[in-house]
Amino acid sequence: MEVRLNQLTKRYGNKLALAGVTLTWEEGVQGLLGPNGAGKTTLMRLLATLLTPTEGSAEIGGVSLTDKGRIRELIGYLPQDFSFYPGMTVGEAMDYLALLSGVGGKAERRRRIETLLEEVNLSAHRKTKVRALSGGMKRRLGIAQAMIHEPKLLIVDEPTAGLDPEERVRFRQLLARFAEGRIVLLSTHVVEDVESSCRRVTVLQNGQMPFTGEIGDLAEKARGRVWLAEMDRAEWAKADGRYPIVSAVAAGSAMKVRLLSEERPFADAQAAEPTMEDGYLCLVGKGGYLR
Amino acid sequence: MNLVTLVGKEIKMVGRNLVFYLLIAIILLFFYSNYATQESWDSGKAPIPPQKIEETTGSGTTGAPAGNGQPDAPPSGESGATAAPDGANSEDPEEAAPPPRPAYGFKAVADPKGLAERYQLALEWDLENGAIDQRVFFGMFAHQSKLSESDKKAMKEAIASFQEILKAPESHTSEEVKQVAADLDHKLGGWTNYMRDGMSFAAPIMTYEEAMEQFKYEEAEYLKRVNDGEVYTGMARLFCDYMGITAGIFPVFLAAFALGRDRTSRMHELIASRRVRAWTYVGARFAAHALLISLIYLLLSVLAAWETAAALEGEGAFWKALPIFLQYGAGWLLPTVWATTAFGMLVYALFGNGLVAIPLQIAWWLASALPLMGDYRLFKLFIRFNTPTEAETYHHFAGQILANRIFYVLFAFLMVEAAALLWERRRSSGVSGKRRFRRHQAAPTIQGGSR
Repeated sequence: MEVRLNQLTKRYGNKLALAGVTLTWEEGVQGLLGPNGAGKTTLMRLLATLLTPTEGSAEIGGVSLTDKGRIRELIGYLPQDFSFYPGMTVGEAMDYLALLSGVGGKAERRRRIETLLEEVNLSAHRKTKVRALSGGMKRRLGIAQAMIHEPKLLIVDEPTAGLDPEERVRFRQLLARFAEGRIVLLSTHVVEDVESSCRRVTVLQNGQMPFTGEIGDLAEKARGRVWLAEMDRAEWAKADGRYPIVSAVAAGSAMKVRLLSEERPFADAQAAEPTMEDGYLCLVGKGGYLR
Repeated sequence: MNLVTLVGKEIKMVGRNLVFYLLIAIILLFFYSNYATQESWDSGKAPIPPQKIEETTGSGTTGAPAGNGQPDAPPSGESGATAAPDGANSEDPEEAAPPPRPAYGFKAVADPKGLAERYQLALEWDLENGAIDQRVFFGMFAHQSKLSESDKKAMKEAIASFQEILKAPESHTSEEVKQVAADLDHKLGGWTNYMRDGMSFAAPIMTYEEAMEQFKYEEAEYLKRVNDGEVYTGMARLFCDYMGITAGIFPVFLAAFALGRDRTSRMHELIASRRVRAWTYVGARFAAHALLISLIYLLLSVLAAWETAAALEGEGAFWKALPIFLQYGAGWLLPTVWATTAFGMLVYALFGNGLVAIPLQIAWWLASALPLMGDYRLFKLFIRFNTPTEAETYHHFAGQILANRIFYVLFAFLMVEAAALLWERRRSSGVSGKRRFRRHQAAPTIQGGSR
């Protein structure tokens, strides 16, 4: 099972939302990182057949994206912004969407619904009206509905938004289990989600793809450019404008800062081991520090 | 895809919609205020013989028309001399006296001679005025149209035809007279007073003898209806006439928002990315709405049969009336229900806004509402036949009515098909709901964080 994109392009009028992206995704959880407006959602909506490419092509499991009927059988989609008919119960919403996905047989639908609601910790809410669910619960229900027909490619857009830390961990485990023999495309701008769930990551910015590869390779992009420094508040105020700051923690009157710089920024700054977040910020932070 | 299961789920969702119950309440209200009334029952029952009224004068009230020949006001003098009403100056009988009143009500002019005379008079009056009343824009608005030379020529030809009929009225039928007027209406561009049932003529019944004559005429007509088994069919047509008015407008208030529900509930992307085929999805939603609303009208047909049987003969006649009402209810009302439902969904699919369907539907409804009978062209969404009598007229138009109904069944399915095609196009357009109209840029703009 593979997803292949070949010069996939999407324009909205004069605006280029996705600029000739070419890549291959294999089985497993694939991270899709990028700042707001980078083209992540456009790419996902293209794969979910909700948009038609302006140029280029794509294949999911050898099926061309133009064969929308067959593609829809292969994919499951959790959009960023979604809800359900408020008058439906959790069970009814799942059953309705399962039916629209072509899951035949009442018993089979019931079995899958029970399993998935258990997985997303909503079993006790099967008869709860959707309108009574919290934001986090709705998102968990959203994840369950995307999996109901056991798709080969699961596309999830910002799935952890609104989830508490415990739910996030549970969700990552769920995705990891589901990705066995399948592809899960996880779009987010939360680096931690990708770091803890994915082996490979693709970075998008302004519709371009500056990076696709192993997470470790993304971290390597920042090697020699990550520095730790402790400075007082006045120095910190100066540094904040000059260098891309990865993190800053107040320690009494001083600030412990992790920043990116081509050269040692301060005499007492120490080189640090790069992380994926450092690599990501090197690519996209402050307009693409590295590029 | 189990279509039946999907339709079942859609029906359940419609059943949770408050608008659906509001719709039922309004339809029931309309039923009891228009069809199930004493006036309807009187028109379906045997006529009552007139009671001879002792001649009196000066009662002060006007005579009222009474379809069954029974007066509801004291009579006026046959000679036309009457006493002054209350408060009038009794010293000036010429001014104070009310005009002679039709003590036994009015009768419709139905004989060829009477009709031809009145049509001729009306034509002469219009020719003298140089203008006619004519409704415009599919009959929606009243307008006075100036007569052109060709109009005047057509009217003069019609007068000549009426004069020809008046030479030997006994060799013509009233239907032929009406047809001359209807043909003239067609030549004048339609929607004039000369269209079928555009004008009705009434003559006063002044004496007991005239009233008896009218009663005998009505009784004979009623007995013929009984012998021909036309009493309940006539009432069923009247029921469908009234309820068609509701079927031609109310379903759109549900259907126009049936597809928009996905967007308002922010569920459209979950649905559009699934394997369900457009026809299955849109078709199931149409079927759910059409079936539920059809069920209301069929149940209403049962209720109408029950009420009519009870009013006309007693409850024992219910089983005789039931199949007739169901047959007419299904044949006359359901095509309208389906077309109105499909139209609402099509307009939403076209414009991405259910509200657009409401004024369009009202326009279509207005274009279909008049005349009360006799016009069954294909743009007429519902069938008007506003009388429980005139079986012969009905049989005259039965073919046109059947063609109209078959057309609307097919048209409804075509509209559903078109709505499904549009829905499928929208599905991958990135819009999948509301259409955005922009002056300079057709495509939606990029919004920060959304793409």
